[in-house]
Amino acid sequence: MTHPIHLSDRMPQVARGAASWSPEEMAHLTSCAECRAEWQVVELGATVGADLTDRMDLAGIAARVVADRARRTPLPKALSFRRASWVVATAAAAALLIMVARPTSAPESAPAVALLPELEGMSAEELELVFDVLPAADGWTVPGTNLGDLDDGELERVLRTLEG
Amino acid sequence: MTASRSTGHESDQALVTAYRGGNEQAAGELVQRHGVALGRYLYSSGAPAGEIDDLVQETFFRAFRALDTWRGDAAFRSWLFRIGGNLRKDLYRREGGRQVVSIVETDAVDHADPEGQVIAHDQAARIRVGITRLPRLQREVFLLRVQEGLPYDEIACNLGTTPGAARVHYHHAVQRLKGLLT
Repeated sequence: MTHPIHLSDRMPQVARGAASWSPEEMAHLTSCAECRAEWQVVELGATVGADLTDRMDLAGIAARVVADRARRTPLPKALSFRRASWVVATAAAAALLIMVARPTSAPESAPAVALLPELEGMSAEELELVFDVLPAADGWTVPGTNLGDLDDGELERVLRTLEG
Repeated sequence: MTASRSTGHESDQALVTAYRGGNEQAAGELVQRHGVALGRYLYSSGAPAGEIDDLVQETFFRAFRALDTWRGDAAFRSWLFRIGGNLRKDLYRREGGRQVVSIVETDAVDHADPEGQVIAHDQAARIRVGITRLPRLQREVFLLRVQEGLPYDEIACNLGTTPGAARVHYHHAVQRLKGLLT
């Protein structure tokens, strides 16, 4: 028996309900065991998991996907809340150390602040935030007002000055 | 291949653009539009029915987090299928390569024709198990063809192969599955 070539190609569309068999095609399927077996495979394959439509909680999934996005939306300047909190806490600690360690009659060259290793891990942007909240200290000479303008060497010198 | 799938309303591309612009409802619309097809694809690939919601959700999480990597040169649904397929593979590996395919997850038996329904139920279960055991490309080509109705050139584009190779994979898949019903 010869098998119409297009029959095989049309099977997925018919199985999905997007097309239907012509009377001639139907007659061939009735008489040809090989094509009938293929049709059965395609028909069954097309229906696997069809009942998931009723079982899936799409509304719940959609709500959680939207919530996940809201959780992950970055804060302005890409500074997360946790990171920002850490910066403010470090700044407060630095301010406290300066107030405690500042000598009453220190020479101009004396270090104004105790070692504060937390500063080493900060970016220039975060260091600026720290400096913004620090009280003005006598004897400090920071080269320039914008730390973002400093090169690595200058930034290193600033840190050495701060750490003594 | 079309870059987006329009179903009479906004295209996937338009929804993705809206989502990137801060419209959260666009994400919900994309989930509603593609969630079931993705779930069926994962289920047909061997994922347990009880884990489909979680897998679909995780797929969308990953997709939206990596939305910048979707360049729109493949259908959004195909891109989701790829992410979901990789996720399922990771799960399969974590479970030490064990894959348990339940054969009692299909619809209940129709009492009007219990014998016929039992046979149909048995055949459907065999086909599902058979699909999960096909080589990856054969399985993916078969599912994209019979469940999504994609032509071979689109399947080839999705899977990074040629239309001719996709046709051959489909033919081999059908031959293997036919053997399960005889």
